[in-house]
Amino acid sequence: MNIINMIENKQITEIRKQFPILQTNINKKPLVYLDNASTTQKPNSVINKISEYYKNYNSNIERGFHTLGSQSFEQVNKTRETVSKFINSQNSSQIIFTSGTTESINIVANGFANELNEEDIVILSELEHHSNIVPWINLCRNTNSKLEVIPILKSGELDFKFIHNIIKKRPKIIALTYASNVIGTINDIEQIIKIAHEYNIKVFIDAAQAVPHFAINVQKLDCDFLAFSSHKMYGPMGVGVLYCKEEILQNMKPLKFGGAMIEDVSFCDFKYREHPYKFEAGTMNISNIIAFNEAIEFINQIGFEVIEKYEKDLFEYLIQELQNISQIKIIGNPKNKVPLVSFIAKNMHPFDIGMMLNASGIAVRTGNHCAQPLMDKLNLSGTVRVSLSIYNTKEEIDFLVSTLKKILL
Amino acid sequence: MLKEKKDIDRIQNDIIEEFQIFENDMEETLEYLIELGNNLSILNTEYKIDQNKIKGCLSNVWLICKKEDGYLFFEADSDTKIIKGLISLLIKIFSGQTSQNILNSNLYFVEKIGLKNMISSKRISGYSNIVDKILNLAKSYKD
Ligand SMILES: Cc1ncc(COP(=O)(O)O)c(C=O)c1O
Repeated sequence: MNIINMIENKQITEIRKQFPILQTNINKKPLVYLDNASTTQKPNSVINKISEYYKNYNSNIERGFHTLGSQSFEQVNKTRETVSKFINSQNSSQIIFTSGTTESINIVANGFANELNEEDIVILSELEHHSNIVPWINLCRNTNSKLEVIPILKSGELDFKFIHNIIKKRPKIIALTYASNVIGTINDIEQIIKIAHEYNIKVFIDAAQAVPHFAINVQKLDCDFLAFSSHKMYGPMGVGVLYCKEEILQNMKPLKFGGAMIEDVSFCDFKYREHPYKFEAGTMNISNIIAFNEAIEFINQIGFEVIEKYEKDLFEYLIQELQNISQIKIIGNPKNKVPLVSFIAKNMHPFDIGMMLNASGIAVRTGNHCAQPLMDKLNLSGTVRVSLSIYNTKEEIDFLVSTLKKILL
Repeated sequence: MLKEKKDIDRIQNDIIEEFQIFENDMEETLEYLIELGNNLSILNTEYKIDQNKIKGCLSNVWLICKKEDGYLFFEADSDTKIIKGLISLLIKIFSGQTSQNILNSNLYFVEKIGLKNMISSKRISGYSNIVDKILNLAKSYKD
């Protein structure tokens, strides 16, 4: 626990001070927020930036030249640059702002609408969140193509044997989560991308659960598409990112049509603007895109080296403590995990556990976590999920564990 | 005897009064609900079929209704103890009432005993689906 103590004393108290919500009470008890995989809390820098925007330079971008408009435009571009550096993409024009991971996935799935027919195969995995399932089912329905699903092993890791075999059927696309929002599994996507590219198969990565926890390098991964949401990485709601390879962006059709995405328009025809604008029709969530920059700066300031170390130690402590509660069964045990864990208890329904924890001020997620197919596979109706973040502490875990012991007695 | 069943609002008021000792302490309220749930008579397994299951709840909830002498009687079960406790209160309120009384009723006790989030998280708790089911049964037994 050396690292936890060391970092905690120096930094975590300071970090916690930046999050006003962590000072609040729930049911007359201090909030213990352990539902970070649903959404993280926001630091003051993010919150303040939103109000700063509305106070100082609220304006629609690129709708006529005035000072405010160009300020907004510059700030949005600043975030685009920051995101681009954050995931190490070649150009910031490969960063498309969306409303969230879900919209990003819909853009990609829609982009394949004209490329698939009844002979084609789309591949997903059993670990996917509904938002990386439903758009693909819809695509397969519309194109009469087939959906195949990579199963998971008992450990909660993907079955690589299956991957090696299915890939020979030459699917058009593999859409995979980087990290599971239920079990926490970090998939070896680098390996999968390598195999897929040998067969000229495109790979989409849902990085929603990965981005807050470790550095992502899209050039090194060589993924064709990658998506994530600002709100799961200390940023505001309603902002997401879609990264695509340059050559894909040239040809991919947009999902939305409207203002700000066209070069020329008459009633007979229109011409798209260059990407990323081609994919950004209509007025975007400008204030929140601008504030998103502060969320990435928040992460950058702490640095992934510290984040990874701290979260890993804290997570190991959590697992060790949960394993000491005899009534609890942890779901899956993959080697590499983001700091989240799902469990069930022998003598209590997840809903009851969630309600009881909430009564003590502890926020966890209960239910099927928008991953019903995975729940079916695991033969579970729901779990309790505890997910950590940089501002969580050993004391909070101790409180969770002692409360659990009391509830499950 | 049955005709002396208290009216719905009086039962709700009794429940609210009963819960007052917890002074809105969530933990104690829930523990008491669990106790109430544990005391609810067991629903025979033959009734635990899909037809009696309430849709839209993340937990399993079964509810049946019988009519005797013009009054409706409910029995129910759930695999979550807190929901079961909540159901036991609904049964206390509605069992033994006429269809008409049930359909005319206005439920307010849940908020007053500090369980507002049962209602606001209705998709998770299934609270409104349970109430809807009771109302639908009351409608179908109306003559
Ligand atoms: C793995 C994964 N993918 C996608 C999503 C959807 O993200 P959003 O709701 O921000 O679009 C989530 C959110 O829980 C997730 O965990």
